[in-house]
Amino acid sequence: MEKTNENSNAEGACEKQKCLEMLQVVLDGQADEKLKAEFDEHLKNCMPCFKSYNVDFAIKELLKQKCCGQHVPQDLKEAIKSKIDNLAV
Amino acid sequence: MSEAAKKKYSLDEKNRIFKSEFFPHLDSMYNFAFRLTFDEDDAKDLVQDTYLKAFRFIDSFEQGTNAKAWLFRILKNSFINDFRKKSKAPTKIDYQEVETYYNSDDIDEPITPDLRVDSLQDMIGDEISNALNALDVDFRTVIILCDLEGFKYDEMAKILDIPIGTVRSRLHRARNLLKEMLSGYAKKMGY
Repeated sequence: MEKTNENSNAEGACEKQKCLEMLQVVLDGQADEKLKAEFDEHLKNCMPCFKSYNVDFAIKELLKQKCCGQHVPQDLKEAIKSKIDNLAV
Repeated sequence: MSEAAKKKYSLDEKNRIFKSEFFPHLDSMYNFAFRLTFDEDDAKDLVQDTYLKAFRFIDSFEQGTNAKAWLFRILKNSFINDFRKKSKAPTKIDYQEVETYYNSDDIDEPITPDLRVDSLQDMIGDEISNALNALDVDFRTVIILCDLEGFKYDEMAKILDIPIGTVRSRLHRARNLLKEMLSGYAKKMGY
């Protein structure tokens, strides 16, 4: 009986590990069509993964919106151009 | 070294590659440098140094490959070799912990404890930016490369000189740390 529980726990952890890995690959746009379809199907039946995916997606979008878009200072741009012009003679 | 890498570009070709393939990434490079150093002058030095190195070693750049990834790799190496050495105590990650994360007991913890999409949407830029900046540099770097710059795992592995498996586990750990911090902000906001 004990052995059965152990096996069941191991299977649960293994399943969860697979879900986490799948979630990350889909989130980062690096899953193929088959994996994406498998994950979409999984989300229909797994509320924790559904919630987790939505939170992770929202954070990823927030990072893109709030932490990008910095422009290089004009003086640095000019300095690099000038140094390269000097090197390229 | 491949034939293409050995090839010497003419001066015109070097200038053309520099202007068309390297220069368009200046904003991303500066953003990366600033988020590594947290100092405007250090970030400027790091970016300038990277571009000068890129020009000096332009013959080892193969046209048609990812110029942005090549530049990011140079900048990351310059940061480690020149800038990180200056800091008093280089940060270290318990890589063993990271590597075994997927197999640890943590796997049984709730994936996203009490963090909700609506609480995230109410956050202003400072909170997410502060949370990102508070991460250890190695964790911060993977988030920047993946989420801000959109590099793929294999490109990140090349930029960072680590296996893809390590990229993925480090990214996973970095995101959990970020979520823990954002959870703290959300609680303060009353969510």
